[in-house]
Amino acid sequence: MKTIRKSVFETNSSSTHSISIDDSGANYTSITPDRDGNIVLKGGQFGWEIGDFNDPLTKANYCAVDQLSDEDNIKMLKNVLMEQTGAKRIVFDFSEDYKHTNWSYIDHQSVGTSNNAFKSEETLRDFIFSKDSVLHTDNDNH
Amino acid sequence: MQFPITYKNGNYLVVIQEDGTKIRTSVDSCFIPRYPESIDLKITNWCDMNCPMCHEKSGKDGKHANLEEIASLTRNLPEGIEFAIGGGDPLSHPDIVEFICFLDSRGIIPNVTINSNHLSRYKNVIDNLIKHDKIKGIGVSYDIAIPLEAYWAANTYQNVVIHLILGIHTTKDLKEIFDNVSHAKVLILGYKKIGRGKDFYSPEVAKNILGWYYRIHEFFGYKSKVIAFDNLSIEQLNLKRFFNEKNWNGFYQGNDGQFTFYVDLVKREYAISSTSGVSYSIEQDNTFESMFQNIRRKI
Repeated sequence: MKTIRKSVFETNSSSTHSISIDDSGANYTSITPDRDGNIVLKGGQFGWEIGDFNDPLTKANYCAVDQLSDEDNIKMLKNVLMEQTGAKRIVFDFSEDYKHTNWSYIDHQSVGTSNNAFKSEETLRDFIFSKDSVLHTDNDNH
Repeated sequence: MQFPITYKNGNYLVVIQEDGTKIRTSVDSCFIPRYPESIDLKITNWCDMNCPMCHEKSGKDGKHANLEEIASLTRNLPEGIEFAIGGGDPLSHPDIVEFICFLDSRGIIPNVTINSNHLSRYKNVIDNLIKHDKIKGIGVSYDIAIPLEAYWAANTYQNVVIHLILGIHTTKDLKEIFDNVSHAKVLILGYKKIGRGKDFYSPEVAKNILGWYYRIHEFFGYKSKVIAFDNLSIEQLNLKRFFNEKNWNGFYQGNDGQFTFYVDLVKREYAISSTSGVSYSIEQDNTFESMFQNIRRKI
């Protein structure tokens, strides 16, 4: 068994240094809500491009676009986002209608690829907020 | 004081390195300490700052503690135990230098926390104590009214920790410190709704704490700076949401009273922490070891 306090002496005159970390410490990150406590998801266009996305906002947007028609999964997504970030509301500001400012879609061959993340709130949290979790987009032309 | 310092504490080993890094190891599945790893030690209630949120209610009518008993209180403590010496304004105590020198001679690591407004007043004292290797950690309570250039100690010495309080300071202050103070390490303290902090609490304070909740993740790994949290801020920021179980178990240093406790030498009382509400009188034959064992029985 082992615990580590990183790089500080105990200077606190009212209670203890209970967590001390440097850049290697935290496993999960967050999304910063706006001043009113909202997280606004603007969707995105996840087409044929090859890319890796590690930031939680892109991963959350991907999930939102991919699961838009599944009411239960959208509810789960909102719960997970609010739980991790402290946000009061999750606002969906995108549409599958190409006339919308934030027209969003996922390439038809990739629709449903986020299903595995929605097995539970814990797996969804891992997918969106874990520093080790990466959204990889690709196409089948190679 | 020669680092690293290693001592046996009950069923485990503690190693403390020159920069304050502390490593506990045991072959057992839990740590059972015999001695406190650190003691939060209040030696005075005198202070001329009159801060509106001060949970200690320190002021100019505050008394200094009698420090004559320190030799008997520290009996049996192994080398490497840390004292977080605070107040009030601990450097205002007339016996502070002798006190620190005694602790150092016993192999106890003296750390001191002062208000940033007092940095210039005590520059010579602090410089001398560090120059002669008598103190290690220096906590500096942040005040936005003090320009960052005045935090000379944090620009000069490695072991200065700037203390910020949720609800009082902001994440903007944290960024300013990390951007402008070369050796900055920061400790985030929870907001204490006791003492003057009870009356000072307001919707503005709550909103400020929420702002920290939203943004704190932006500072993990920021410019490779070290950031630490006390138990109250861990609770108020729900810090556990950022860790998996393995890392949490590796970094979390324990609940108040598990490895540490609080001693108020002014009132001659001790407690699990300064905010616990229940305290015990220091008896004639008490040592810090016996007080800690009593605290362990209470938790």
